[in-house]
Amino acid sequence: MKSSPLKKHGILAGALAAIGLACAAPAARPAATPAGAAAASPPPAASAPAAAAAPTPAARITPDAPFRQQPPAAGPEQPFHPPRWSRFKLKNGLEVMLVEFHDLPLVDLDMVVKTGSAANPPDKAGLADLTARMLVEGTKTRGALQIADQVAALGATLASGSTWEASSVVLSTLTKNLDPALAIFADVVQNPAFDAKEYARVRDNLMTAIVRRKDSPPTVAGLALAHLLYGPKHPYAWPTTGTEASIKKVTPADLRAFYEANVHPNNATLVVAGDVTEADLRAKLETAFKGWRTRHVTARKLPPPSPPAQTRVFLIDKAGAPQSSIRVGQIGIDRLNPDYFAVSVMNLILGGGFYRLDLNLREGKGWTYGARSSFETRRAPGPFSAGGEFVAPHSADSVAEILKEVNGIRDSDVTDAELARAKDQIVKSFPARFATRASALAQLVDLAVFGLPDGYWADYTKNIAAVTKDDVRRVARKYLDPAHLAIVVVGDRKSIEGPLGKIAPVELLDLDGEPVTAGGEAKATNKTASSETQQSHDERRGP
Amino acid sequence: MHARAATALPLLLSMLAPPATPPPPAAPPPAADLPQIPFEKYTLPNGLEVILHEDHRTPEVAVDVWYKVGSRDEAPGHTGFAHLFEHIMFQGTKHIPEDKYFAYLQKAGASNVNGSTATDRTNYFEVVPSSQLELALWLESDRMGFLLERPSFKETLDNQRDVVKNERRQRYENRPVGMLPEVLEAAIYPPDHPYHHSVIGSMADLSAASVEDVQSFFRTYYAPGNATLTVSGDIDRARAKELVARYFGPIPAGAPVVRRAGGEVRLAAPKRIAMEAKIQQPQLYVDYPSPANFAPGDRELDVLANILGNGKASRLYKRLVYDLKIAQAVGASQQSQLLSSTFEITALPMPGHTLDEILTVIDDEVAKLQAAPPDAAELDRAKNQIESETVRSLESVLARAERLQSYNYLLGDPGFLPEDLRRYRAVDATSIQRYAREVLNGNNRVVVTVEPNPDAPIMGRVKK
Repeated sequence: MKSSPLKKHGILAGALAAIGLACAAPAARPAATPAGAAAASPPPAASAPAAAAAPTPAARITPDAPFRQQPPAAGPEQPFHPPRWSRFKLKNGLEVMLVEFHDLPLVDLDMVVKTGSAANPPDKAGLADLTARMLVEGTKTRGALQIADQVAALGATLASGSTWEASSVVLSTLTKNLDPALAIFADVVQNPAFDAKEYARVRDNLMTAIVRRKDSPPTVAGLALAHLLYGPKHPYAWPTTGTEASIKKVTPADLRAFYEANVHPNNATLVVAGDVTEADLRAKLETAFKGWRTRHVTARKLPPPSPPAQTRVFLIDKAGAPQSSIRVGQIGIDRLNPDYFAVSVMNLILGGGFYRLDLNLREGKGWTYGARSSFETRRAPGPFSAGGEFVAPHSADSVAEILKEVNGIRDSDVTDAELARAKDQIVKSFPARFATRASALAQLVDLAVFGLPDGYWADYTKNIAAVTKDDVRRVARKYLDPAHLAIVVVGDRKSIEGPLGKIAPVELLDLDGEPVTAGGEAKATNKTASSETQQSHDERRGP
Repeated sequence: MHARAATALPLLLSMLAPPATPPPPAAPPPAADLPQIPFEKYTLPNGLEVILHEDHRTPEVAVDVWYKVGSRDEAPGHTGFAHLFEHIMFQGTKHIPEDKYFAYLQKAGASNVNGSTATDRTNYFEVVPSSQLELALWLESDRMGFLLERPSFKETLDNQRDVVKNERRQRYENRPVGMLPEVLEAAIYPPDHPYHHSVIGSMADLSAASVEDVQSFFRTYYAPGNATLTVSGDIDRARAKELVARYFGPIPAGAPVVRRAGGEVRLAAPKRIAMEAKIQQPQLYVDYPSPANFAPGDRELDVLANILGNGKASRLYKRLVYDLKIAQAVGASQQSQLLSSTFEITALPMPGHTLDEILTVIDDEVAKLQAAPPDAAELDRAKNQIESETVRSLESVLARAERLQSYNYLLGDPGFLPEDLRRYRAVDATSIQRYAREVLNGNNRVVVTVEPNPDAPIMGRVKK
């Protein structure tokens, strides 16, 4: 069945025949359903269509009515409580969280290991992600292709990888295939082979994908921003998937060591959503994970970041680019920051879809298809970023307007209408976070990864509702600092460098984010960690 | 290594009750274990089709309107207009001020608001708390009935024209090999075919769009008789019908739509196009014009695509990526559309390997499927993947609305889901071989190679 039958071009997703409006919620892509299809039988081959002769259509007048003059009042609000989930421990100490959904015969399991890419040594960016990827590339008894074949035969999916703060293996299966699917899932978690030959293939393949990141200006901009904000000694400076230089250094022994140091039941939570009961699940898991043993796990400390000393423009040349990728950023907040709720509201007003940045730069100026901002929250403070893709001749103007909006939300109170709209949007759309297995699973994973209390989601809307105008102004002043911004611009240097220089001093970087000398050669400095400056969380814009 | 015997995969969806309307008489009754989305369909006197799906799992509701218009309805010189018009639909009406559309919905707690334009249809949707159903119906009915009675279009048209030009830059011109779809469309479809041009359209045509075009387009296509409204989620059906009648009933019907003609395309001789772009590594695209959505062969080609190029268990992955290690990635898909489809194979080489090396292996794997049918385990595996993927895609109220809409548009039957799944189950091995021969035929294809050239634009260009 066509899960996405609208025309798409292959693995590079070159084009979409369906074009969305780029709306508010970044998580929500235009739903793709069959766009094509002939009723019954299509006309025979090719040729001879003629443009429809367009008769001048007559005006249609819909009679107006009093009830159309104003938005209708809301109906009675339905009470909503997040679905109950249970939490229990297996005999080996593995914590399990389960939220039951019995409407479809599906079960999703996410083994969340609470060590992710933040634990990468700075010269081995990509280690956590490669370790996780290799789990599904062979066990002591199953080869890489056997795993793929067995999973596909069950109609299941199995994927693994790491985020900044967690590594995970995710299984989605039909309920009736839970036993055989769980057997594979438990095997890859407990018995990875880290075979040298398989690893060479996976690493070489990944290397090729990494090289291709330089093709896309938005990707180059996002990765450069991370590098500039954190500095080469901090893991957040590097992409979770690593760099050409860093993954060359990662050996199968490194993968084994990372696995042995971190992948243990006492450092994991298994999050389950779907069509299974607690008693049934518990029995199956006790069997599947019987041999998995607790071991000591050492917590790691992150070094301090080294952000730029004052606001500067960092320009990366893409000669002839019709648009400039602009990212204005600095280090923001961590996930457990008590200002999390106020920052969420503030950011939505600044850079949510069809809020200030969008209304100014898209709806007002027409310089972009979308201008957004985001705070990415992690265990340590993650990046704040504001920007988008802007028509080349207005690159500097766009930076100036973004700065104006950043200053604006610091310098005066948001309006009552803005505050009410943003808070209502978050509070009233809350049920959607628990509407599907996948979305409910994500909420529980958030609790597991960051150690948030069980009552977190029950109190969530209360915490948002409590945010005041003063809070918004206070956190804007606290976490947005116009004197210490990194402004990354990837675009046509020849036409945009001059105007950008009037905003702040311009430093030139190459496609790897390394400084360029006046002659255009990359400096031989700052190469200690790697020549790459990319980070992979670039596309996540908005709240 | 071979797949072990595949498990057969019948599904039992206890929650999804039988549909409120019976399946079409022509189709055999669906197997009892196939999923169904219960619905009720009726038509207002003005021609608006209405589909209701009741689902009380979460207090939210999706309102989803499909207009039967897309880029295929654009005459030469007006490319991109259907999509530009879609933007205008969010900019205000007689009763909704400029920039208030999103504001109303966001304040109401909408979790998803958007519209999208494709070759054959345009949709508009919002997912709102069920207490806000009336707001969504008010907004959708106001732009169906009162779009043209807003103060002035001039400024908003100019603004959205700029926004759409930036969308074109973002999605095509400043994207690696972004020109590929337009190159392929022009190579596959003759100049007078409705799919010859892209949905986004040309910059020149976008510049030429006028306020008169907006008015004429609205009057021709945005009438109740050319639209279907689906309301899916936590609703009381009687109350929903009342509201739909109140808001949409008074909108006049509009004249019947005359469409551009165009049918399935086959190529008589192969084409090879050499492109170059400011990219690091070459890319390969192999496109075979193929049967339209739901035409004979379409479902078989879905299964064939799965066997050839879906994931690590597929033939091309095993050969090119796993065994030979000459490709970094490979994929195959049957991209079904109303008038004519495309079966596409794409591949990215590993450094030091050429596109022709990869093409030789692709041709070899296609030849194998032409020479012998796939074995039973491989066929079952592909069908299991397709069927379980379908079940996974039925969860959200919006996904259900969209599926009802698409079956309704394509086949006149929103409840076609079980029959559709039955058709996949019925695909046999010899039919795979047959369509491999008929469609994946060396004469009927366009091969596009893209080579790196630092002096070429990011979006790429056809080599002189």
